[in-house]
Amino acid sequence: MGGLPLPENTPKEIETARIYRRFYTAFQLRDLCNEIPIHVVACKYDIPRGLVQNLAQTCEGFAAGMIKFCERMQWGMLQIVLEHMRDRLKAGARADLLELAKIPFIKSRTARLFWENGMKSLRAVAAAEVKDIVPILVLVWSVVKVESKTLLITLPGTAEEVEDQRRRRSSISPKTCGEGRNHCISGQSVMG
Amino acid sequence: MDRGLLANMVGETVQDLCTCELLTIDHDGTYKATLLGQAIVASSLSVEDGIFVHAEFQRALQSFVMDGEMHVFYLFTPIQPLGLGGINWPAFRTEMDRLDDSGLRALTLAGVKPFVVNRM
Repeated sequence: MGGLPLPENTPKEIETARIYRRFYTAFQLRDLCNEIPIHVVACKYDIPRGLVQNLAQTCEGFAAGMIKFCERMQWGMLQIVLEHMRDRLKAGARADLLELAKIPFIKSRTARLFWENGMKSLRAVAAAEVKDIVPILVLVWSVVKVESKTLLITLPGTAEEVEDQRRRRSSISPKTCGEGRNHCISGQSVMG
Repeated sequence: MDRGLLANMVGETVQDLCTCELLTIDHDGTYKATLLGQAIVASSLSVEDGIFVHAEFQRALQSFVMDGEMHVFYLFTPIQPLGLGGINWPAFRTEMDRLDDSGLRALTLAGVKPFVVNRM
C-alpha cells in the first residue's frame, strides 16, 4: 500500500474521497466483466478476496436499482445501455460470450474455451458431438485444478451430462477422484 | 407518541420532500410524486442516495462516454463503500496509465484528477 489515504474532513473532501474509491472499485468491476478471475482481481488491487466476490454480487442488485431508476426517469437509451451491461455483469463475461453463458452451469471461463475452440453459438454447442465437447470440458477442469490446488471445484451439471452420454455411448469411462465433493474425469479414460 | 409531535414531523418531512423536488402539490392541494420521487422509490435507494445518484446521472447524461465501458462500470459501482478495502495508490496509478482515451475521458468526467493520483 503506498501513500496516505485521502483526507475526509469536510463534506467536499468526503465526496471527493467517495469518487476516488468508487472509481477504484469500477476498475475491479471492469476486470471481472472481462473474465479476469476473482483471485487475480483481489491480488491486483490488494483487496481481500471476499470483498471482490461481494462486489460482484452487490453490483447486480445495485445495477437493477439503477435500471429501474432510469426507467422511471424516462431515460430510455441510458436504460438500454445499462441493461446490456447488467447482462455482462451477471455472466462475468465480454459481450461475445453472452449467448453461450446462457447454457446452465456454463460460466464465463468454460464459455470462453468453447468460443476459442470454434463453438461460438448455442446452435454450435447443441449440434456438436460429445467427443468434441468433452475434451474442452477436460481442458476447463485441468486448468482449474492447476490454478487452485486447495480449492474444490464442482461442475455437477457437466459431470452428470457426460455421465449421461457415457451410458449411451459406452466408449467413455469416467473415473471419479475421491476428493471430497469433487468429481473429475481423468484425461486418459475420456480421450481413449 | 404525542399526536401533535407526530403531525409536526410528518408536516416537516413532506415539506422537505417538496423542497428536494420529490413531491409536488397540485393546484387543488393533492400531493403527487415527481418523476424523481417515483424513480427513487422504484430503485429502492434511500432519499440521500437517490438524490446523489440523480445528480450523478444528470452529470453523466451531459457527456456520456459511449465509446468504451469505463463510464458505465463507474455508474454501476455502488456508492456506499463496501467493506474496508482501501485504495492501493500504485495499483490505481498503473490502471489509470493503462486507460485508453475513452477510459481517460470517463475518469475525468467522474471527477478523478490524474495529478492527485500521481502524487499519492
